[in-house]
Amino acid sequence: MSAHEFVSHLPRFTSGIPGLDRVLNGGFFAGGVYIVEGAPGTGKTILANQICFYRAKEGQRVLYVTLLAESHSRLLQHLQDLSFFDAAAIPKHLTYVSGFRVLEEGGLRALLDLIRKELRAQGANVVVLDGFAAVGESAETDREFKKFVHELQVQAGLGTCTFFLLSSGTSGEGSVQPVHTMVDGLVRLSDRVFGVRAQRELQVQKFRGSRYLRGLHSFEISDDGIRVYPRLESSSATSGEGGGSRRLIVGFPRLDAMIGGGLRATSTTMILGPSGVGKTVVGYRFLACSTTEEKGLLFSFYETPERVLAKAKGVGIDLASAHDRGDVEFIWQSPVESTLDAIGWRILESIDRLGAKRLFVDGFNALESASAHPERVPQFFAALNRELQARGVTTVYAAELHQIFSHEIAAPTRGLSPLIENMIIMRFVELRAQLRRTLSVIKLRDSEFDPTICEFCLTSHGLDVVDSLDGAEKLMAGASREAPRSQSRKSGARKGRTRPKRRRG
Amino acid sequence: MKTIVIVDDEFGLADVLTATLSDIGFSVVSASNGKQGLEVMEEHPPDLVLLDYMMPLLDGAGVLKAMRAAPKLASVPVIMMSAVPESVVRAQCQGYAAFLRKPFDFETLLNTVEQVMAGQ
Repeated sequence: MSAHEFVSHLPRFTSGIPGLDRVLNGGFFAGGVYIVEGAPGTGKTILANQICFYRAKEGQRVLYVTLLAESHSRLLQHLQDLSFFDAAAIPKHLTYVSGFRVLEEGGLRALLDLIRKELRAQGANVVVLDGFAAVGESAETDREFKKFVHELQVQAGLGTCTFFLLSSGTSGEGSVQPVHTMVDGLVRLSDRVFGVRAQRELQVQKFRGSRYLRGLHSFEISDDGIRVYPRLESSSATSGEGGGSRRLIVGFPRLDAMIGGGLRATSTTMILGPSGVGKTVVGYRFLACSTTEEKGLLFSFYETPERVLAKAKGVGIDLASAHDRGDVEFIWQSPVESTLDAIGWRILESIDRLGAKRLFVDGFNALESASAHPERVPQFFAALNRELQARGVTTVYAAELHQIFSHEIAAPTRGLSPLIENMIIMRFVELRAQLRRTLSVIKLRDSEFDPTICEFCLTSHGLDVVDSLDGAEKLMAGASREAPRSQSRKSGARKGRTRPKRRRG
Repeated sequence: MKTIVIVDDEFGLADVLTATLSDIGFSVVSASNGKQGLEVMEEHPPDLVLLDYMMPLLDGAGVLKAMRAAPKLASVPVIMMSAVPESVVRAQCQGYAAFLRKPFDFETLLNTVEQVMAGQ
């Protein structure tokens, strides 16, 4: 006899909360008893009601028992502006009853009787007890409280209904109460403050019968209710296509020549440089090469779509045609008040929707500042790139170097360099009393590259590579100067023609 | 009023079944092991017994055997309940009227009770 014959699999149901089922590896188990715990204002009631309305929409019957002094009319008033709220579902599919007075007057036994009778009368598939802490406060002994929870479990099994017990969690974060050992799952909601920002976080602390994504996952509450963003690095990597030896041109012939004909497909490239040096122009050119078969996505933290088109036109890059054909899409993301995971999932969902193969993220630094936990940026970046590579996407990030002239060139975040396959540096240098722009490739994984430090100009035709800066030295050290004549002569360098030996990255 | 005896060691289940079946008009008495179950049946002659298969002191098969040997209980219908498949239970004991695989829902329970009662 196989295990499947001996014990039948419990059916699951989807919660209707985007992202949560992914954290739960497929949704809640029907017939389970789950505690949703969190301080007041963390979103327990919205989470429960969102599940209720979703299940009601799916044709199920839902019973919502409040143990709070708050009236149902007040509760519904607060919910009615949320998009999932459907007045037509009440009371046909969703019934609100108060257990407050029953609990006050008859204790736990009377409340159990009420639940049992209402559950039978409504034929409910989902039951919510809002204000579960009141049950614990009403219990005369721990044993009585445990017995109450156990009877709910039996009710859940017999009625094939799922219980959600909403508790304000007076025990404090991380603590374990005896009742936690009895239930099938524990979901904790919190609202943490980092500096002046607050970030909502969800943690599944227990989930019987299934693996789940552990740790903290950020979530947001909008007019559409709750949306959970599973921590990207906690998800298992999606397997997908490799890039092979195929290359994607950037679109500037001299630069493409320096990198062996283009960026290796599915690779990750970081363009580093100070503000105004021309990083975005390179990214726009890369996107302008998009085709119907190889669509592009611009994810910008700075420029709105209108400004993108105007800016590209100003440097002679025709992004408008690709945009009009639907081969390139622009997404503007506010650099403030968003979480790292929300941004990551927005990028991935946009890629999936468009089927894009070229991605330019303009403003890597905004990604960093979106993180409430800066130490996780490298892991997040690795996970995001793994997902993008699995989708066959070739990615270019523009990252700002804060100092315009400096002897120091560092990746924006510590620990990031090993994760970046290709690195291009664009800098301002001062030479012969002129401010000049330079471009150099400093890393190209598994490929040869031309290590020339080129001077370029931004013109109405785009980015024109003018020359190699032979005869100058200490360009990368931020202290450029003319090399002594003898040295320059010895090297046999001639302006604009030198092709140094190719270097392997 | 018909009397149902529930014999089950699972904490809470007997209480909930008792309350539910009482709600719909049965007289219900419960016991938490097989030995106690036989004592309860002596005191409250049942019209139907809901009997768990795996229990301490005396299991469901032992209770059923004892019932069939007792003149007053020999013809009382039994609904056997267990989390293990019926094929496993049937290999160990026979003579029950119906089988309920745990976990079961209210409707399945009530339908089974009604069918067994109707067949009496």
